[in-house]
Amino acid sequence: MQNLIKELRQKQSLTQEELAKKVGVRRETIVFLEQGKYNPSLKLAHDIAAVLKVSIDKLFSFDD
Amino acid sequence: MTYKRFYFVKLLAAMVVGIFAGHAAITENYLLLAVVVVLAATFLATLRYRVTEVLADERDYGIAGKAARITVFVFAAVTTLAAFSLLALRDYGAEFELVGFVLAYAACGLLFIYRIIYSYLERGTTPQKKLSYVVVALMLAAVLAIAGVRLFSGEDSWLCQNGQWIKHGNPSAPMPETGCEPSAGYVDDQTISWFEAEQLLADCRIKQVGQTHALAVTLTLDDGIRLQTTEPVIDYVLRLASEAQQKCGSQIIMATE
Repeated sequence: MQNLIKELRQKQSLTQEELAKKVGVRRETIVFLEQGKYNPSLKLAHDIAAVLKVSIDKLFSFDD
Repeated sequence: MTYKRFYFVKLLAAMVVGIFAGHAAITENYLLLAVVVVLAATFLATLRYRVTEVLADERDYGIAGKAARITVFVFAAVTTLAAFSLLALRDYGAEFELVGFVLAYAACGLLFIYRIIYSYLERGTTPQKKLSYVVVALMLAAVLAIAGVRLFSGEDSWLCQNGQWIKHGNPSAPMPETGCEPSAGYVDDQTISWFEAEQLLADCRIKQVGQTHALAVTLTLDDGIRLQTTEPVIDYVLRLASEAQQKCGSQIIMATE
């Protein structure tokens, strides 16, 4: 699974810490998400998409 | 307060509790330890509300769940293996049997608690939930039955104390005629298990104890018969002898190397 979290976050001039605070997780979780090493829950995906003002299916994409 | 500072304080609190735990083990003052644990837990719980950062999120909970599953599996497997090994060695010392049973019960207890909590957390999420409740109820009944047998089996029976049968509760069987004579079954210089030694001390049948640094213990019965055994840790026999003195009201001569 790939995602555009890093690109969209940088476009909105948000730091990892700020994004983490907005969605209620630890900064490390954002790091792992951006590196594609962690698959978020549907709720967290929804929260991140809401903060970055995109839909979930645009934020996350599957390889197959 | 930041997460890092909270983590540091938590480590400090754990160290303080550890120091008091060691102190309590040496001085046998467990009340002080309980007070310190409660104070530390209250202090950390209060401090936690002052942390503005997220302490744990869904990723942490996921990792914790995975770690818990692996821990349960490893602990149960290793403990069960160790328990069977120790029980197989029971002929070499009664201590092996005790530790083996403790480990076996610990493994069963852990799996039982895991199953109970798992069933509670997954309630309503599976179509087989009724079956789960039945299984859990049966397991609980089995555990309670075993505990009941272990706890209450000896309530109505004859106990051997000071070479005499003492009525304990309301036993249905008549008083046994043999098996409680002073030194019954013992010969001079016989090696006995540590359990038997503990029982003899508890039954006020020992008048003298001696120990060496190699944990070898010599017990002298009230009729002069000397028995050999091995204590699990140094000075353990002296402690039991002191307790027996208080309980029995008689003096036990204690000697150590």
